[in-house]
Amino acid sequence: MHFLFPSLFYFWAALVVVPVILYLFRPRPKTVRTSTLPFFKWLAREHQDTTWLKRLKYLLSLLFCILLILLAASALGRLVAAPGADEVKTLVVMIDRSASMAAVDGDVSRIDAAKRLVKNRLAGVPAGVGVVVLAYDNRPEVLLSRSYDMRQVQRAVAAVEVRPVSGNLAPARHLARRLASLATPGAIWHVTDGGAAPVSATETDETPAADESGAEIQTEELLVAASDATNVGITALELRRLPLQPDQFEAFVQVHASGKEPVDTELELKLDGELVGFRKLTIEPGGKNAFSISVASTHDRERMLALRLVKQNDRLPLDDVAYARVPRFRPLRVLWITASPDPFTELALSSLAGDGVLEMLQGKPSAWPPEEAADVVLFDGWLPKQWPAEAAIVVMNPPGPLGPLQAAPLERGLPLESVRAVDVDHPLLFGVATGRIAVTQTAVVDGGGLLHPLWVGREGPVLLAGETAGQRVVVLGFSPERSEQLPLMASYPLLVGNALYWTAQPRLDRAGGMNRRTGDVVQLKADSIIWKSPDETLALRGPTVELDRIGFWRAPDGPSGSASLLSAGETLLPAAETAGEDTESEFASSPLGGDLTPWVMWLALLGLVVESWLYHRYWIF
Amino acid sequence: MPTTDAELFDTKFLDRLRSLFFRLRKRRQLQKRGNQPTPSAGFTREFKDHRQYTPGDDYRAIDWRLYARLDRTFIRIFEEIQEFHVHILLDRSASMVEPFPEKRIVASRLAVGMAYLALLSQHRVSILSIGEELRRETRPLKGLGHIPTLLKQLAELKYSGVTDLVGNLKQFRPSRDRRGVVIVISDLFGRSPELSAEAIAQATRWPAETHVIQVLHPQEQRPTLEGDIRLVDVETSEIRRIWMTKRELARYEEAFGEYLEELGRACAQRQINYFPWSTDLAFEDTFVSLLSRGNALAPS
Repeated sequence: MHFLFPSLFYFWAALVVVPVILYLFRPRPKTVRTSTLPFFKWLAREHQDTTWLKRLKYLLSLLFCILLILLAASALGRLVAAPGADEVKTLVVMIDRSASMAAVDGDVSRIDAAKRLVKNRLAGVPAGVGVVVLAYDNRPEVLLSRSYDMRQVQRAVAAVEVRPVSGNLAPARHLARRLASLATPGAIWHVTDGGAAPVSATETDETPAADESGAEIQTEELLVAASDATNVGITALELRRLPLQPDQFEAFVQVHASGKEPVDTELELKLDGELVGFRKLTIEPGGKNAFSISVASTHDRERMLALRLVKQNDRLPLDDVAYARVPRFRPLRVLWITASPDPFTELALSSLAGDGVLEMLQGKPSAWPPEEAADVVLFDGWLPKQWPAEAAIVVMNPPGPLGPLQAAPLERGLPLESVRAVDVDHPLLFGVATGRIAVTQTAVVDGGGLLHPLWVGREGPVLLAGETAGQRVVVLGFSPERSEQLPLMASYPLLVGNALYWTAQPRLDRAGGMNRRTGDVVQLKADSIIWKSPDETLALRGPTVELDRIGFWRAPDGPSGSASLLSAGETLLPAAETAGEDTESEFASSPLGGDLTPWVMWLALLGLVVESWLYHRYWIF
Repeated sequence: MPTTDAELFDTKFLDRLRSLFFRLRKRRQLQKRGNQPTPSAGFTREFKDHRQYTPGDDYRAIDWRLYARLDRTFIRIFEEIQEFHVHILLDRSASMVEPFPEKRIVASRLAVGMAYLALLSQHRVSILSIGEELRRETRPLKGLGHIPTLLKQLAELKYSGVTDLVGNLKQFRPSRDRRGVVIVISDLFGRSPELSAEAIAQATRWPAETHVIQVLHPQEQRPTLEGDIRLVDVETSEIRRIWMTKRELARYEEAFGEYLEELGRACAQRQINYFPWSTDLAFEDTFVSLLSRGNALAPS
C-alpha cells in the first residue's frame, strides 16, 4: 500500500503529536472531598476499577485517538493498495494529436472520439496505477507526469488539442516506453487514427513486451478512425528559382487523395489574394497528382502565394490550403576586387549584368573594405589580410592562403589539357561542358575538408566549392587570362554565373520568405512573431520558434515566411475496419484493491463508534 | 475547628425558647416529678378540675364533699408535673464537618437549643456523641446552671472518623437513663445510606420518643460538580473518579431524593419524628417550626 498524496498524509499524521502531548500533559481531575460518596458510587456502575485498569483505559483512549488521526490522514493522503506483482503499475496514455486527428468522421472529430474513448476507459483504472498523459505530433510532449489523481488525468486528457503538424510516432513510442518502465509492469494506450503509424485494429499489440531494461510493457492500440476516410490535400508546395532567371520561380505542387473512390477536386491558385490559376484534378484513391506552376517575383515586394483545394465532404480541412511567400526580386550585387581586370572575366560579368539580374561593382585592392556591402565578393588574384565573413566569396587565382583557404601560387602556371569532374551534378557545373575544359592552373589549393573539389587536375583540384559556417566559398585555382581554351567557351560565363548565384543562394533565401512545413523550427532574432489570418502577435521566449500553425508569418525585424501542413502521411487518412469501437480496459479490480479511502473512512467511523461506546456508554470513570 | 460559645449560645434566641417546652405524645408512668405541667392528671397538690367518677377510677380521689351536696360522685383531678430524660445523640463523624462545616454549626446549635429547652423545663439532659462508637459527652444534667458546661462540651467536641450508625444506636440503652425523649442529630450517612433505615429501626427498642433531625447541606442534595472529578470520601478517604454531567447530576438528585423519601417512610412506620434540616434554612424560624409541629415539643 502507498499514498497517492504522501505529503498530505505526513502533514496530517503529524497531528498525532497533539493527543500524545495532551496525554502526557493531561489535566489532573479536580479533587473534591465529599460526604456523599456512596451516592456518587451509585452512578458509577463500575466500583472495582483498579489503577492499572484506569491507566489502560487512558492508554487505550490515546491509541484510539492516534488511530483515528492516522486513519483520517490516510483518507486525506488517499491510501491505495499497491497493485500485485503482475498487475499494471504505470499506464501511459499516448494520444495522437497530429493534424489527421482533426478529421471529422460524421459529427465527431477524431480527437474528440479519442478523448471520449480514453475517458471511458480511465473509469476502469484502479486508483493505485500511476497514469502518464503523453500527446504527440512530430514530437512527444508529456502533458501530465505520473499521477494517481484521476481528476488531473481527466483534465490533462481533456486539454489535448490537435496541432496542424504531421505525426512522428517513433520518438513518442520510445518516450512512452521509457515512461511506462518507470514502474513495471506498464501499459501503453496508444490512441490514434493510425495516421502517424498506420496500424489496423487487428494489429494491436496486446502481448506484453519487454523494453530495453527488460521490464514488461503492454501496448494497446486504440483506433478512432472511421471506416470511410475520403480526403484530399496538398502535400507539397516548393518554390524553386529558375536557373539564371532569378526573378522567376517554379512552384512544385503535389496533391494526394485518400478514400475508396477517385476524388475530383479543384485547386485555386491565388497570388496576393487574386485568383491567378485554377485546376481540376482527379486523383485515384491513395494516389497523387504533381505539377509545377510558374510564379514571377516583383521588384518592390514579396508576393503571397496561396493554394486552396475545393472538395465536398472533405474530412480534413487543414491540408486543403498551402501558402508560400515569393521573395522580392533583387539584383545580385557582386563586388569584383582585382589589381588588373581580366578582360575575359570582365566580359563574362558584363554579359550577366546586362540582363538586369546582376549589379556589378569593381574595385582595386586599395578599395577594400568596401563602403557598400555586396552579396558576393569576387577576389581575383588578390586576398585581403582578414577573411571576410559576411559576404559569399569567390576566389580566382588565389595568391596565397587565407582563412579556410590553403593555397600556394604557381608562378609559371601549369597548363591542364583536361580536368576531371568529381561531382558533375553540382549546381556550380550546371551547363558547363567539363569535358572540353582546358585551363592553366596558377595555384595549388587545399580545401582542408571544408571545400570540396569539383575539378581535379594533375597537381590537385583547380575548382573547389564548399560551405563553412553558413558562408559559401568557391575557389578557382586557375587564371582565365592564361588559359587558352576556357575563356573562349560559353562555359566560362556559365561557370562564373553559377559560382555567383550558388554562393549567394543562402543570402537570397534569407532575403526571401522561409516557406516551411508546420512543426519546423526557425531561428529568429526578434522577440515576437506575427501571424496573418488570423492576425496575432506571439511573444517568443527564445531565439527559436516552432511553426505550429498554418499561414503566413513575419518577424518585426524583417524575416518572414509561411507554414503549411504538407504531409502525405496526414492527408492519406487511415480508415479503420471497425470505427470507434470502445473496448474495455483489462485492469483487474478486487474489493480490496485500488483506492482504500472508503475502507479507511469506514474503519475510522467504526473506531469512533467503538470509542464512543466504550468511553461514553460502557465505561464511566 | 472548635465552635465558639457565641456561635452556639444566642441569648435572644434562647429567650424565645422560654415559652416552649417538651410534651410527650402519651403519658407514661413517670418515676420522678418535674415542674412541667402536662395534660394528664396526677397526684400533686395543685387542683386542676373535677370529673365524673367512672368504675376503675381511684376511689380515693372521690370528692366526698361534693357527693354530699350533689349526691353524685366526682373525682378531683390534680395537675401532674412531669420530669423526664432528654437524650441528645449528636453525630461527631467527619462528614458533619467536611466538606461543609455549616453542618457542625447547625448540629451543635440544635443540640444546645434542645438541651436548653430541656434544662429550662427541669428535665434531665444527656449528651451523647455518635461516631465509631457511642460516647457519653456529659453526665445527666439538670437545671440551667449546667448550660456553660454543656456549651464547653459541645464546643470542644472533635468531629472525625466514620459513623457506625447502626452499631451506635444498637448500643444506646435509654432505659438505663430513665425514659424520656431521644433526639438524634446526624446526617445519617453512616457507612452506607442503605444502613440508615436499619439504624432508625433500632429506635423501636427504646422506651422513649425518638426524634430524628437529619442535617444536610444543599450541596449534598444538589451538587454542582461537573467534569472529571476525583472524589475523596471525608470519612474513609476512599477515592472515586467520575465524569459528572448534567445527566449524572439529575440522576444523583433523583437518587438522593429517593433516599430521603425512603428514610422518611421508615421513620413514619415506626412513629419516629423525622425532620430533614437543610443548613441554608433560617435556623431560628426552622427551630421554632420544628418545635411546633412535633408532638414532643409544644408551646406553653
